[in-house]
Amino acid sequence: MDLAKLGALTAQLGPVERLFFRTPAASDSSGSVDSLFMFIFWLSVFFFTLLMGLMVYFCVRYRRRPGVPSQLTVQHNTPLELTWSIVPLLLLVVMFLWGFTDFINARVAPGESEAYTLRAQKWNWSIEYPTGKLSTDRKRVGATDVPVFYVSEDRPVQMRMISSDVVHSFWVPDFRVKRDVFPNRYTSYWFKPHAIGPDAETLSIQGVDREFAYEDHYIFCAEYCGDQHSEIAAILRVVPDDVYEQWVNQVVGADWPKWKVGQYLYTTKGCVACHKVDGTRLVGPPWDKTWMQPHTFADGSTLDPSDGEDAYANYIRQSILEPSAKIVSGFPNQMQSYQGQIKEKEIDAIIAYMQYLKEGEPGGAPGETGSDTGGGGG
Amino acid sequence: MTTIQSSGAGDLTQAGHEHEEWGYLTPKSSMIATVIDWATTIDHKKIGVMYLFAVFTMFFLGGMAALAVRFELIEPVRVAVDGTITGQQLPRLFGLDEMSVAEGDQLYNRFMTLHGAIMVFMFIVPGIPASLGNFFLPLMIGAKDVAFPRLNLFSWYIYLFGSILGIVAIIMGGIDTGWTFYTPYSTTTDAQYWRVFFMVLGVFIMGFAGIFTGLNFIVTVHKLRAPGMGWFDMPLFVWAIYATALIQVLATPVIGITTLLLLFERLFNVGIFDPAIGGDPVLFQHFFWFYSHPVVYIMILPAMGIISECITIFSRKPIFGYRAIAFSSLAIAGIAFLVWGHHLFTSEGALIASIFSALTFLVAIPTAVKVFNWVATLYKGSISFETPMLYTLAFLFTFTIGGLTGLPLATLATDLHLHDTYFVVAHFHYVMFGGMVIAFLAGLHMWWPKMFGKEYNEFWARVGFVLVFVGFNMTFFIQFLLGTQGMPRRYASYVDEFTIYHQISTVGSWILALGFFVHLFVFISSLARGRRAHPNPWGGLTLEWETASPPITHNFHHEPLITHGPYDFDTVVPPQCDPADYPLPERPQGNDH
Repeated sequence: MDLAKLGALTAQLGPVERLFFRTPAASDSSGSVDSLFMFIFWLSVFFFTLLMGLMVYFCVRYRRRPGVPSQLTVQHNTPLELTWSIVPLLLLVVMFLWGFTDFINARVAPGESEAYTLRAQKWNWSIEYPTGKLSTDRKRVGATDVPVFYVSEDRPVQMRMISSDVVHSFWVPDFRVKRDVFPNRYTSYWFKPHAIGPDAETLSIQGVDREFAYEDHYIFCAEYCGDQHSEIAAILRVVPDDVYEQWVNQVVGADWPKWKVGQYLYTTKGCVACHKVDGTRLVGPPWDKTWMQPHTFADGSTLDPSDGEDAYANYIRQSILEPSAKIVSGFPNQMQSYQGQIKEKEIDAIIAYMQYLKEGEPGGAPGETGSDTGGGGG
Repeated sequence: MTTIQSSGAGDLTQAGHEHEEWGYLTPKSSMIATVIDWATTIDHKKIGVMYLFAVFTMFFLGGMAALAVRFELIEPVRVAVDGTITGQQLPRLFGLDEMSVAEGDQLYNRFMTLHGAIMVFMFIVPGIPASLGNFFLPLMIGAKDVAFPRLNLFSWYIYLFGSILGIVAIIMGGIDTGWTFYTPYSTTTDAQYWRVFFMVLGVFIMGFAGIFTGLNFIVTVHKLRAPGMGWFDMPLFVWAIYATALIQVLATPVIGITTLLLLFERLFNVGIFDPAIGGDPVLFQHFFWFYSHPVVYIMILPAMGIISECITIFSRKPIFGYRAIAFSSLAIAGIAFLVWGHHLFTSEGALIASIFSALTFLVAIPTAVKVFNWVATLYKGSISFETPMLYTLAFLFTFTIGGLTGLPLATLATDLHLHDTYFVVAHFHYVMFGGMVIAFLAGLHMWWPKMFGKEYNEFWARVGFVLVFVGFNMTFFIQFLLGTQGMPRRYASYVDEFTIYHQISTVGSWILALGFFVHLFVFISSLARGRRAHPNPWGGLTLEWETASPPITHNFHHEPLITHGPYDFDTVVPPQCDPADYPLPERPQGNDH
């Protein structure tokens, strides 16, 4: 039974389905789950209407009239009890078997899938592609700018997922599948997007040679993970295969200046989820107000430019590896340590980026603050 | 003045007990003496009433937290280009305009956790068994009290103490772990971890109240039934309480152990659940749900017992399928222990998920059997629509929706989509609120005249009913659609597509709250200046209707003689009632039923 083909056939949604799902299921991993849901729904409507209909009818027909007693009836009927136990049981067996089949379809990836690695952390998603690509594209969802992950409409993908801290859950509502993401244990998730629809919007981005059609799908975290559980979202962007091929091969340039690498890491390491670079506060202090500027910390100590550049470099390094040591006064003590997850060169680059935000290019004026490696549109 | 009719089950009303004009409620010689009397009572009725007021209070607190949660969700949180934050209702309400998005989210998370933790542990689990169960179990089996009255009082104080610890945690600022406090979030959040500590310790202690009460009820049902009352002569509410007590005794120790392990991990850094120190977070989920799934049957079984009582009295018909309903209570209690893994479909292995899915479907059958039997009971009855019956019929409506929406959750493939979404939130509110709370209100209104000897205002109670029913459905039905469309649960904000749904749901919550305030007003009014109630206003046949309203301290003057079944409406005139008000159906000539 090719559940994927079955699923693709239900691409046209009826009015009730649209009320439940808005858009059709969009991955081969969805199987025929929308049809299964509607089967359960209509079955429920049937039994519910039957029961409520009888209830209302009996209440009206047998309402109490003064002086009129109730009537004698049998008080039990074993064949009836057996019937209304066994018939529902048979229907439930069908439900179970169908659910089981689609479940296995959602759990077992096809052999030829692309392998991605997904890392979840409080409060950011990060995917590493087979080419080493890490996405720096972002899009505003809700109150936050979230990562945009490009995928090909032609290729199945299997992701190996792990968390850096607490339990999260990776969910693409349009694919109808979610899977929990644990610390210290891998879990996997696969999908193969359906073809992009004919009336999809189009987009142009830097690094891709043509305007292309695309479909965005929400990624939500579906396991409570603390403060910004509502904000840890992402966008899965389905694009034509040639566009994907170009995008995924845009990896960080070997010729980039250190500050630009730092800017890249700012998004790919997830710092952007909690630190702004335009002076405003988010969960943590803004980075453009960090380098060589006065700070007072929660333990009463201070740091100011007269302490020298080394002191600032050390402060930044400590904040990455041992964040709770020096909390800027007025900010919460919530940052997770990046110990074991960041290389020496990367710490260097981040320090360079913060210096760049204050001082500009070495020898020049203070630099731009935005990410300019793609994203936007839609 | 109606004439008092004896149904032969022993001496009844005030005769010879003029010193107790208000039965067990008669106050002592002074205020202090009365307070001490209640504080040291071993009378199951007084303990039941104290529990009733306690759970009412907890329901109010948890309800306030729910209103706060829904209030935040009336508008999504957005940040403008210049950094201005809009849509944070709770910070604005508390005058905390400088809150960042994350801090505002955390405030919401604390209210969300509070709502769940208070409602589950302090309201709904003790709910019916501790209040109505305590009050009516001994009465319904013709006993003077429960088997261990002093243990009963001790349980009450344990519950009180545990709840106070929970309140302390709230006053200290609350916790934000969700009521399920999954690890490692719960073992690592909140650097000054005393709030989590107090709440979890409170839960641990409250568990013992449940275990002791359960034990008490099991022994009471086995040993203290009046002579002539066999197992199949017991009212179905007693069967329900019995099955509930079995679950309480067997399941509650598991949450006790789990909470203890959680506290050890927090205090002594022992790696049980936190992978950073060698533990396993999925292990916590298994431990937690091994108790927390059976606990939902602790919540619903007594409610189902109430429905059985109400539906027979108000349709004046014997229950259809007595044994089916009795056995289904036991079946539900048994299967309850086999299905916990359906809360972990997205975190456990495929084989074990499949086994749990299959087992979960099993529990639907005895549940459905009850609903079918209740509807069949209405057939050819004589049905009246006072508030208890309105709530009983509402139960059939809302609980059936709750049960049916459990089916896509038991089904593996659909659950991968619906797990941890608003669909689940809607489902469990339909079964817990639309099941337990609705039935609780039915039982409360039915038994109110018996417990307090006062009538309540039927008109305003019906107004309350309409508001509660409309408000409840308006709040929660739309949440099914939110879930299927992609709204996760425990979110402080949401994408634009969901705004209108949330707004409808929040307005629904206000109507629901209004309904409860109406009920509160009706109950306070009744206590303050309600008319003296008839001892059997609805024509019930179970033993509590043979006592005075309120019952005397010893419940019965003499040990009751059982001469008829609890639902023999077709052959027996209800005790203390005028036969003219309760005509019996004609029997065919020479035919014995």
